[in-house]
Amino acid sequence: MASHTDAFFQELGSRGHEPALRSRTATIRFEIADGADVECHSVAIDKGDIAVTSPGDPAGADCTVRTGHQLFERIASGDANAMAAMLRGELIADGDPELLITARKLLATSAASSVPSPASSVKSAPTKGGQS
Amino acid sequence: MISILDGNTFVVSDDRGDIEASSTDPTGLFSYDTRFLSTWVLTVDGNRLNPLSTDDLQYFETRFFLVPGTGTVYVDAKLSVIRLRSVGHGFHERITVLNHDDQPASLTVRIEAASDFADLFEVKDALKKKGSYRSLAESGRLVLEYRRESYHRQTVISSTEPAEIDESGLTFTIKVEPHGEWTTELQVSAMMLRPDGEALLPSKPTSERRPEMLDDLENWLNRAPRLDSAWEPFAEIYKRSLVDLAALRFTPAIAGSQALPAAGLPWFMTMFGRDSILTSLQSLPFTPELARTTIRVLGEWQGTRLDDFRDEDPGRILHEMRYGEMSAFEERPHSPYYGNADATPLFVVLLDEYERWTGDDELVREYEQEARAALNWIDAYADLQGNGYVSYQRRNEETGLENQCWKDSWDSIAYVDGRLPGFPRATCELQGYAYDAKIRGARLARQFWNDPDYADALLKQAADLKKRFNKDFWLPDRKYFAIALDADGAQVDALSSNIGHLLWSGIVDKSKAKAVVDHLMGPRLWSGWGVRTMAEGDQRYNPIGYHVGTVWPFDNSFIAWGLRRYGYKREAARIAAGILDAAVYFDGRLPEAFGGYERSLTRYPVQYPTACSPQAWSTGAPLLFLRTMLGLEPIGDHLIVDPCLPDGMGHIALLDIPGRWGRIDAYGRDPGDVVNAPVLRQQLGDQSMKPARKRVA
Repeated sequence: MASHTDAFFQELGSRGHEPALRSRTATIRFEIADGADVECHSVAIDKGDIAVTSPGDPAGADCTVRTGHQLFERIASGDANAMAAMLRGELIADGDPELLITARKLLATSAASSVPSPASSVKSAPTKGGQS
Repeated sequence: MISILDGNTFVVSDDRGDIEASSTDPTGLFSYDTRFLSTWVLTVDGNRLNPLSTDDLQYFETRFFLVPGTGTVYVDAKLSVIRLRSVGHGFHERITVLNHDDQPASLTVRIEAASDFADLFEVKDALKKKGSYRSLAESGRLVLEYRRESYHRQTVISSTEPAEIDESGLTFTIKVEPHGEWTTELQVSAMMLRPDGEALLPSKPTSERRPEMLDDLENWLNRAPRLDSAWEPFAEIYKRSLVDLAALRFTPAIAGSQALPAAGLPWFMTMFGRDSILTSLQSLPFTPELARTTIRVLGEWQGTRLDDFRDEDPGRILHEMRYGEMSAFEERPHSPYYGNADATPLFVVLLDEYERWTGDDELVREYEQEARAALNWIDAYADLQGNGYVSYQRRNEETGLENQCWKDSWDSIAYVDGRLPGFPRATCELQGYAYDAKIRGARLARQFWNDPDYADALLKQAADLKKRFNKDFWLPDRKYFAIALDADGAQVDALSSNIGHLLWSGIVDKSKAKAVVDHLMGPRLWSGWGVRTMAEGDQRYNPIGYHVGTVWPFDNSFIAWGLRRYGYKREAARIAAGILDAAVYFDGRLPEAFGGYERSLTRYPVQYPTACSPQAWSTGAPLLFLRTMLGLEPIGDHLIVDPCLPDGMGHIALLDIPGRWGRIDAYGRDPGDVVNAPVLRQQLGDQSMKPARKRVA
C-alpha cells in the first residue's frame, strides 16, 4: 500500500492550481528523514500553480520543512498537526516561517478530501474569476 | 502589580520589581504563553529592597526606585537602587546602585532566578509539569532549561559586569565610591529551541528592540488622528487607548511582520479571531492597518478541514492560537483552536467595513476565496439544527469551549427562570452577524468579485433570514428578542445586552427597534454607567457575574453603534457618556468589565475582580464611541459627519481621520456648558444630548 507521504506528493503534483494559494509565490522544500535516508521534494508555487520536483534542488527554497518519516505520515494523513509539531521541535521550518502556514494549507486541503463533509465543498458558491 | 508588555511577551512583578510566582498566579516573565521566569529577586547584603516609587515610562518600560530596608524602618537610606526594565523577547534590566554617603560602600548585590516553565494554561488550571529541569552556571551566564522529548525551552541570563554565577542566581561583590554609582545590565532571553539548538522562531534581543520600539510608538501616535476635546479627561482617555492598543499589538510568529491586536493582559496575549476582529472594527477610523493584518492573518489560518479536536471546519475562522507546551503536545487544541461561531461571519463584516473606509479593493480581491469560504461556512457547517440558524455545539467534549459566542462562560446563556438550555444553542447575535455578513458579502460580490448572481443569492438569503428571525426570536408579550433558541428550537427568554448587537447588525425590523431601545435604556438593563450583560430580574442576574450582569465597555460600544444605525443618536450618546464617565474612574483605562450595580448605589464603577487590563476591545471602546458620537460614516468616497454629543462634552474635533478620502477633520459641538467634574453628566439618567448640525465632508 502506498504511504500517505507518497500519496500526498503525487496528489500535489497532479493538483495543478490551488486557488487557496493564488496570491502566493514561493518554493517550499520537504526533507523527510527515515533513518539515514532522506526523501526530498521541492514544491514550487507560482500564484497558486503548483509544481513538484523530487528530489529537487535545495538551493532556492524559501522554506525547508524537516521531519521524520513517521511524523510526516501522520501529518499527511491528517492525524498530526504541523503547527503543534513545530512548537515541540519535532518539525523544523528553516527560512521563512510564514510558509509553514502555506505548507499547512497544502496538507490540510489534501487531508480534507478524505474526510466526509456535511455539506457541499467550500467552493460551492458561484465563482467568476474574481477580477473585475 | 506592575506589568510591562510587548506583543505576547510580558513581565508582571511586584512594585519593587521582584517576581516570586506561586504555581497559580500569573506573575513572572511570559513569552509565547510560557513562563520563562518565576523567581527574580534582588537583594543588597542579603536584604530585600523597599520601593520609593515606580514610574511606568512606556508600556514596555518601567523604572523602580528602591532603598534597602527591613520593611518597616529604613536601615540605610544612604544607598538607593534603580532598576530600569524594558521588555522585548525577554527583558533587559539595568541595575544602578547609588552611594550617597561620604564613605565607600562594599556591598553584595544578588539576583535570585528560577523558572518553572509553566504553560499559561497550567498556571490557570494549576497543572503539573511532565518534563525535566536543569540549571547551568556557565561562564558569564546562567541557563535555566526545560526539556520534554524534543520540546526545549531556555531562559538565558547574562550580565555586563562580572558576577559569581551559581545555579540559582548571580552575585556581584562590589565597591561603590563615595557619591559614586555602580551599574550592570542584565539580559534575560526567553528561548524557544529546536533539537539542534537553533531558535525555533527568529527574534531580536531586547536591547536592540528598545530604540525601535520608542520610534515605533511615536510614529504610531503621530499617525493616529488628533483629538481636541473641551471635556478635559477625553484627551487622556484617547491617548491611553492609543498607547494600550500599541502595547497589545501582536505579531504572530508565523504570519508576516505586521501586527494585529492581541486580546488582553495577562491571560489572553495571543491572537483571538473574535477579539482581533472586533478591536479592528473599533479602531478602523484611527489605525486601519490593524484591520488589514487581522484580515490577512485570520484568512491565512482559515480552517480547511474537519478536525473534531480543534473544532475546525472548512471556512471557519480561528478562535485562539497558543504556543505553549500543552498546545505543542496536543493536550490542548489551540494550534489553533477554531471553536467559535461568530468570528467567521464577522470576518466578512470586517473585510467589507475595511474597504468602505480605506478603499483598499486589492485586499478584497485577494481574500475573495476566504470570504466566500466564510460565507459558505454559515450555511454549510454552522446550521447544526437544520433550521436555518447559526448554532454551536463543541465536538471536542473534553477541552473545547462550551459557549462559542462572546459570552463564553458556562452560565451566560439562560432562560429567565435560570435554567440553562442544552446544545446546540443558536444565540441571537450570531444570526445578526450572519445577516450582516450576507448583506456585506453581496456588496463585495457585486462590486469586486464580478459576481452579481452570487450577490443576488446572498441578498435573498439575508432577507429570508431577517424575516424568519423577527418571527422566531421575538417575544411578542415582552417585546424583545430571546437571547437564543435552544436545542429544540424553543426561545431562551432571558433579557440581555445581546439585543443591542442585533441593532448593530441591522437584522431588527424597524417596527421592533423602539421596543428594543426602550429595553436597552430601561431600568433592567441600563445601570447608569452602561448596558448590563444580563437584565436585573433575570434569575441568574448578578451585578458581578462575568456575563450575567456586569457592564462590558466593548459590548456597549457596539450597542451604541447599533443605536446610531437605527437613528437613536441621543441614546448612543448617553451610552458613550456613561462608559466615558466610568473610564475617568479607571484613570482612562477601561477594564474588560465592571459591576452592573445601579450608578446611584455605588457612585463609582466597581471593577470586576479578575478582569483583564488592558484588554483590547475595552481599549477600542472609546475609539468606537468617538466614531458614534461624531456620526462618522463612509459613503462612497466621502465621510459623513453627523455629530451628536452628550451634554457636558462641549466640542470635539477629530483631525486627520485617515481613509479613502485622504485625511479629513470632523467636528462636533454640544451647545451646553462643559462639565469637567469627575462625575461628568449628572443627567445621564434623564437626557444627555442635544441635536447638532450635519455636514458632508
